[in-house]
Amino acid sequence: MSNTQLNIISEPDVAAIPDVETPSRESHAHFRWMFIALALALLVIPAFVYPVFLMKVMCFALFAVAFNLLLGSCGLLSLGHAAFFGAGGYLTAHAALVWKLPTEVAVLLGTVSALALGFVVGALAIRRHGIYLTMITLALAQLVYFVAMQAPFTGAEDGIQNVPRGTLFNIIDLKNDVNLYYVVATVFFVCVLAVYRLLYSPVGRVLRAIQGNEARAISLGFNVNRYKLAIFMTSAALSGLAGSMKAIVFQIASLVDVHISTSGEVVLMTLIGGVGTLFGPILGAMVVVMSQNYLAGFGEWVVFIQGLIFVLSVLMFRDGIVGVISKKIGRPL
Amino acid sequence: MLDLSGISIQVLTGQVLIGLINGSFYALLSLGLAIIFGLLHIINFAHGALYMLGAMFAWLLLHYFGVSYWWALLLAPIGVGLFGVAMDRLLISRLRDVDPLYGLLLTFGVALMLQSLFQGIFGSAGLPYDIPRELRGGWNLGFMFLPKYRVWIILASVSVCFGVWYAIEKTRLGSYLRATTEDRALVSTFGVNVPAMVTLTFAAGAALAGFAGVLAGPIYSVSPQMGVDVLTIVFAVVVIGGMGSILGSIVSGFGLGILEGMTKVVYPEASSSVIFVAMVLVILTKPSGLFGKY
Amino acid sequence: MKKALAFSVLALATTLAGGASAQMSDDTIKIGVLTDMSGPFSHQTGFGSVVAAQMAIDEFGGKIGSVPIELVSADHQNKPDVGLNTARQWLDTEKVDAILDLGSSAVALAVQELVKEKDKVVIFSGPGTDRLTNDSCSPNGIHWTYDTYATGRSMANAVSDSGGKKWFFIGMDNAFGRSLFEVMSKTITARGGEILGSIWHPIGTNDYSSFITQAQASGADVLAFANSGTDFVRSVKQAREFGITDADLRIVAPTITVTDILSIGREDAEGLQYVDAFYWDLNDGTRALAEEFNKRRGNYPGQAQAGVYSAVRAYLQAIEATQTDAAKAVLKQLHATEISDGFTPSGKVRADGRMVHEMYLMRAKGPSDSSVGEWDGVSLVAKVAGDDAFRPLAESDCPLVK
Repeated sequence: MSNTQLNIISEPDVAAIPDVETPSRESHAHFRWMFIALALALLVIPAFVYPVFLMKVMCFALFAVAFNLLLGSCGLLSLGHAAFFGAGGYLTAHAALVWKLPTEVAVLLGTVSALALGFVVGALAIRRHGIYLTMITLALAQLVYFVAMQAPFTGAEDGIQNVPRGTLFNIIDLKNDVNLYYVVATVFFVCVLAVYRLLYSPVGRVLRAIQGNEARAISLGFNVNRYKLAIFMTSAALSGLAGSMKAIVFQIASLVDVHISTSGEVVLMTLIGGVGTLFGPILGAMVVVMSQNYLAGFGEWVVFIQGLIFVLSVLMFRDGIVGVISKKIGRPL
Repeated sequence: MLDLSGISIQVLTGQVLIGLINGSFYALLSLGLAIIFGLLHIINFAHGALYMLGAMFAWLLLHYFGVSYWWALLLAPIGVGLFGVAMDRLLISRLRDVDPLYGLLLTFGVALMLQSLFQGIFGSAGLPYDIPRELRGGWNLGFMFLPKYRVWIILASVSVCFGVWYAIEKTRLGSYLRATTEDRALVSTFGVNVPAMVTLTFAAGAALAGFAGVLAGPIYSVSPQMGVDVLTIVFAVVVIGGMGSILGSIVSGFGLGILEGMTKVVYPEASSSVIFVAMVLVILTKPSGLFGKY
Repeated sequence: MKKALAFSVLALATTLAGGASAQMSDDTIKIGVLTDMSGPFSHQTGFGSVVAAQMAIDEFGGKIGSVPIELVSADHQNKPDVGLNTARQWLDTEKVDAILDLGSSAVALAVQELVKEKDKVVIFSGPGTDRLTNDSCSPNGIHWTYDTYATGRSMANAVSDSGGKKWFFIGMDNAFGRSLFEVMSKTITARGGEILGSIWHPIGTNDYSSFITQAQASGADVLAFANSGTDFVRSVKQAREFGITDADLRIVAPTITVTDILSIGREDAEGLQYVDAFYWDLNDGTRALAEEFNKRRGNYPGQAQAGVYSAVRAYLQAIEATQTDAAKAVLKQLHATEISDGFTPSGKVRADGRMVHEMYLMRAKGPSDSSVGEWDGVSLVAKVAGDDAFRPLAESDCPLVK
């Protein structure tokens, strides 16, 4: 109780947190170059790769980055993130198709609804720890799935079809794949940059302190639950944004997006790429989405291969691809 | 949907009875998970797959070797138990010192592999497995028809549940097991081979899942995906009962069976979702579950 | 202007290439089978559908004139985004001319719209949703094999004919189950029957005993299962376990397949009636098709797979007749020709895109039947004329027939 009061008066000094590595300027200066490289790659790659496929990768990559924000920086494992991804998609699709709202407003609405859902789920989930928190997220996501199944506007397993792509700010025609690509790429880039800024801000240090030793963070006077809830909501909103964009790109919102298998997939992406790294989830999303597309010839064995990847990642590469590289070069990635 | 006012006492009695039968099955189904979590602290997401494996073994034994249901009831759990030994020794033992959430992810991967392996070989359609001759038919109780097989399920479940509870709470082996969960180092100084005991416990939990699978085969159909449909229920049972409490799992298994049964009468669409509502409510109001120690 | 220019460039190019067949785009006919290879429908479609398509292509010797026919296939994993991504890529960059099979309704409805936008051809064999030729119909899409309307209506009529009056429904709580119920209940009430109750269960329900005892207590004489796959198999097994026999409560299930019957086992399945679009033992043509499929795949084709064969064959015939693979001309030809092959003796494509052909009311034989082969486990009860099965155009919401 006294902690809360203390917080109201003054938030403790972040620099006073002991035992948490203070990222010096040099140790993450290379991120600037990485972001420039990312921007360049995003600019030129549609000349070589099918843009719709790239947009799908970016939507899932943003989803995985959002998920990792929770797991990697706060240690909270959610098995219900599909709820936010799917809810964003449904709201955006409905807003664009039925309410005929402009695309940017529809996407904003989808993001805000995921944020609100994140508030409800987060507020309930963060009251518990470890497996219990995970179980709450799983259970609540199943309830969201139930609503998606029952609610008249979601179209049950047919989904919401024929969502119009519209024109952005009444200028840019999004029916053109290349136009839409650059819009999605811009949003994606800005979001990843924002997540990076967040992780290397004072807030990010508090999060690391919470993950390292929650009891100590509390004793230092931080309102840990407030931080957890804030990060939960941020993660939910970004997941919702990813789902909203996917609904616009594919012009459909469907039950698969709120299904537990999607929650499992985002865990897989993050695990493969590297939990707690910035670029890991992006790489992980690329690997998983590509495997869905290019392993399609293996038919029923795709799921087997995914399971095998799960097992091998947990046993041998718990740090993930990017995590391993990051350790090798001794810098965060 | 039936009109609520139209539900007579007789129909209601029938539904409660069905709820109890299903509840006993849920209790049995969750027992293995409760043991593995309670004693080993492993969150075994492959529990549903092990249940499927039990049913599949029974079908394979019948189909290729003509082994009867009764022998399968003994042999298939042994087979699943051996698989459990392999799984623990080869995979899970490597994760003893890391966050238990990694165990969850590992077993999730194993579950995916097992399901897709059997689907790849036997297809996604179910495989035929009949109720044994001796247990066909049933009795007309007036308010409902009670199949013999359901009576067998309740008998088998209750006796296995009691046996397991007794073994863990009242025998010397059980006391070693419980002590192991408290302090491994101390128990090993008594000359107990702790790693072997851990593996044995995991195998026993897996065998219980396999036993439930054989029991389910004749009525719930043998198919590669059958584990997926029960996984969420067993987790709800264990969480609600209190992770680590054998008695809690048994009681909450029965409770959820009845709760689900009643929902099937008044709002059948929500009959699988009601379990999640119950789970969230219990975690929020009584985080350690109804009988939990942690 | 631009179009004319492009056309003359194309014409020039093809003339230079030898002018074997001036109207074929990019000098191949490319067919894409987009299907479920890993999910719950994989045994009814999947690789079997690819094999069926190949069979039809082989009948043409792999080419029409001198233009080769190419077959590509992919798994949509029952995910609309995976299916749409593949379909888009096929149409945009890989020059696929026609997409076949599909499967889950969400994927099918999404691809229907895409193909219309790109002005290509899509022929549905796997999916059951009747929306494909109703409110979501398209000039570029043909629904070939079956739909929930035809199976539901045929079933309800057949049971009403044989005296079934009081119905109880246990159905899957999804669009498939609900739409099946809608058409059946309409037919039943029109025939003077009544519906005593209906229960909707979540997909993947394990235990049906509660629903079954409610059905037993209702006093109905027909119990209809509006579900499919594993859910259906469990329902029937448990209905038998709870002592339901044909004598007191007849079980019907409109949209199931022979594989479901095999999963249930002969004893419990005895007497089950269902509606199928393909029956392998109907005539020499169907037997030849089934045998050839069996030779390549090791089992007999289901209705969706036989439908893929028939659709690919008809599509290629239309190209052969018109000497072009331009969607408009081929579709026009498809709509104008009578279909007669190993799948159906006589069928025609309607303006709404529905391929109308006769359907078959089937019954599962019991264990006492002398036939031993797995695929002899069912027998034909009655043929249902296409016009008595599929939705009449007068009832249609399809904008193309308004």
